[in-house]
Amino acid sequence: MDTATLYAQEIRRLNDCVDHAELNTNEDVRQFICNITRLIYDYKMIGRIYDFYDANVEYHKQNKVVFDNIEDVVRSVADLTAAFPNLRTNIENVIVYKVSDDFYKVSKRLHYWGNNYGASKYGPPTGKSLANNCLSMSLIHLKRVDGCWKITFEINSDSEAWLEEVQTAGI
Amino acid sequence: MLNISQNLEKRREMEEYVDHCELKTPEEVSRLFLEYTRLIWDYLLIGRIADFYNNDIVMNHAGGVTVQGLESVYSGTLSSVAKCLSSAPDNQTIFVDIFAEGNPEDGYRFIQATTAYRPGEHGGQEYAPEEGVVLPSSQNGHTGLCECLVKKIDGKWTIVEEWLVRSPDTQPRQDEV
Repeated sequence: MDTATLYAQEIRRLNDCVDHAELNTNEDVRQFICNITRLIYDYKMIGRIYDFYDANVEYHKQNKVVFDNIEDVVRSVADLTAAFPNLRTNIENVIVYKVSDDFYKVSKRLHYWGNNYGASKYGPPTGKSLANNCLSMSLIHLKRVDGCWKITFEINSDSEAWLEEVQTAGI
Repeated sequence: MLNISQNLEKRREMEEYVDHCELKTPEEVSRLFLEYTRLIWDYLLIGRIADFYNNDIVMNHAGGVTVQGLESVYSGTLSSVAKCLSSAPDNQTIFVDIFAEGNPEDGYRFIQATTAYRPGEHGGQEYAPEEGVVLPSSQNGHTGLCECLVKKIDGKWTIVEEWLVRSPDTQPRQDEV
């Protein structure tokens, strides 16, 4: 089977998993978070952010960058995947804590892998690799809103200095 | 920094909990490491690093920087505390959130998000998040996320590995660790 077919099949599989997810256990939540992360970042289904994030999400990145609406989150992810079009996530650990039947607190730790093959705010593509140096951590509040599970709060901290270095020519 | 002299009773209460916690539940683990972190960073009981950090602790920082060993934890902490005392003596550690997963048999993993609040940067105002806001937008410039793996080794609960990402201006370079 060719790569494109396998890719499309995996997207369908992940879509099916997340669309029918019942988050009854910590393991259910863990799988859900892994699946939506892969869908968005590995398989470039950026539009699914609108399904998984609350429209008024409170989203913090380091360096006082704050998003208070979903459009900013979408733009941020689009910028990253455009700069690293072969981006892959290596999800290393997900911690889940059940607060109530309608609220889970989750943390996610991963490394981004990929090459700067696309232009970014730092300039033209450098081709440099993230290697295994781009640690990214998130703390997430996942709540049931009007019957649907949504991320309402997130703190996300990437290896920002390393991301900048990889996207900057001449170093 | 916290006015330690006026909070000695609170310190004693936290030390009592930290010294006797049996880590039976994730909730106990969360409270334990919240108070343990405060004892080290707010109450400057830096020697207590040895209570929980393993001799061979591995610290994973952003950008691929990895540090190993208890001495590195001590030197990094002492360096940060000294800098903070001289440059931001009114610094307060604010816990945005801390939670854990696990059990007494397999060990625990916990995540904590903290931010450094400096009243001097806010006209002397006390930290007070807005209603319905988890983290004031003015605060996340100093926010850090830290995940720890805690296991029982030879009968003693020990932090064996840590992952830490903070605002870039506080990241250690490889030659600093």
